[in-house]
Amino acid sequence: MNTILSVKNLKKRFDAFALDGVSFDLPGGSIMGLVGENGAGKTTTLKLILGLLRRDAGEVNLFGRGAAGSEKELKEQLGVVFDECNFPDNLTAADVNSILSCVYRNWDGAKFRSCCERFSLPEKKIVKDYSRGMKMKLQISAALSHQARLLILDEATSGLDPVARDEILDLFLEFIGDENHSILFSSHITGDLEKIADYVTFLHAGKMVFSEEKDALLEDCGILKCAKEALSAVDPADLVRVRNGRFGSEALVRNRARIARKYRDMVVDPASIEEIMLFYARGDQIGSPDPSQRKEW
Amino acid sequence: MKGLLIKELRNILRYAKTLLILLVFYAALSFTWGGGQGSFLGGMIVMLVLIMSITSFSYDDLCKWDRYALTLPLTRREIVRSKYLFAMILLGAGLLLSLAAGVGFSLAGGGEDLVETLASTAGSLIAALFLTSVMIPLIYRFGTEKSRLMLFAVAVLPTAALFLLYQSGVTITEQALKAALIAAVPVSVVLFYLSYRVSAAIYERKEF
Repeated sequence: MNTILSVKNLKKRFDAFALDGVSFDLPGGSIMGLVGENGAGKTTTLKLILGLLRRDAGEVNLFGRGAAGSEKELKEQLGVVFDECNFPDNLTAADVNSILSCVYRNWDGAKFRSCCERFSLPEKKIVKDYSRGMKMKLQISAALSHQARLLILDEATSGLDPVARDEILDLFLEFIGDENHSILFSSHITGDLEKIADYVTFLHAGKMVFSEEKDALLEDCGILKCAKEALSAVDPADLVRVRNGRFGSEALVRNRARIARKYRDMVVDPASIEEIMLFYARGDQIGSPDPSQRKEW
Repeated sequence: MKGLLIKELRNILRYAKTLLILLVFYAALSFTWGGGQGSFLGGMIVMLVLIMSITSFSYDDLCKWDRYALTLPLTRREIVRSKYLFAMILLGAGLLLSLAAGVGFSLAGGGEDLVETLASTAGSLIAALFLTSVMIPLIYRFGTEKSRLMLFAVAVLPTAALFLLYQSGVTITEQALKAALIAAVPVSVVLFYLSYRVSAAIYERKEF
């Protein structure tokens, strides 16, 4: 399998935040979602990959180990969209076309115009008068019009209405139809991830919790539901995270089928990505050294 | 790099009309109130050029342009170079305009003779080169907002120096002034180049 992007043990320390040891591989023809709450380190990870921040440690490999070409060559094959529009307010889509046609060797003006048409973006209107959705669509059109092999998107779908989001997700699926193409996108909209991601990498407080295939993850994870007292009968090794509510306890478990067989009198439901995320971010670890850290909610 | 220059020019052309009105206003002002002296207009044009150069950085800040530009197949050095080239284009346009105005005024029978006009234009150009050379590295190092305040200090210092020189009783002859003006041309050009090197070094290390 051809690896489009490989990240190993990425580290970056700031005054108030540290990203610690992020590693994952993104194979061609697939989409990886980077999830986590605000401030978990998603944007930092993307910026380290793009070289906007200098990494303290770790490795980033684009387009396979020892891929030929300078940084410039690699960037020719990269399409990037950030959460805010980076085109100056006074420019129009036509301006963006003429600017980028001088920047990218493989710029495809016809493709860009057809993308803009598809999204009904007016050529003559200045970016300032665009809605948030239109700004995102303009940036995505630009990212798709120079034969990029890897799209890196930072919260590109947040703040869009469901219809616009759906349009954009369709476009992404089209893009990865080519097995030499991949997408890495960060989002806290777990519904989008569930819809299109093949892999999910979950960050929490600067640390990578897991990076797994989505289907396997959803197959594997489960939520065990029981009364608070009954939980003590469960082997702590089986409980990944626990949340105690007023009426009972819920625990995130791995290897759902095995757990369901082991504890026949308890309910084990499938878990959604959102639930998994919440358990990891807010649940308690049984045997956590500091009981005061446990939250009642 | 060409793409970056197109971006600057297209962006600035959107407020070309405002600039044109300002220029006509300054020209009228210098013809009547300024006694038909091109040097007043030259000075205003220098200020305008400087402000436009700084404004281009504010525009970039506003839309976080740099972090996007850095994902394009461009080197950091090229991004800095485009800013200096843009400043040069602005200076060139400013130079032509003040020359044209100066010559126009002379022909219209106002104020100064041609030599005087050329001298004052050269003076304005040197001032603009000097200020731009100091400002751009400051912007890269401290950001647009802080640098804008520093601009006052940068602009006041030479004036204060001249004032002190005047106070100390040294008489400045016209001869000396002209010699200084001629000497200042190569100095300011070298300074402009050094400024580019400093900015490039700052930008190379910058994180976004």
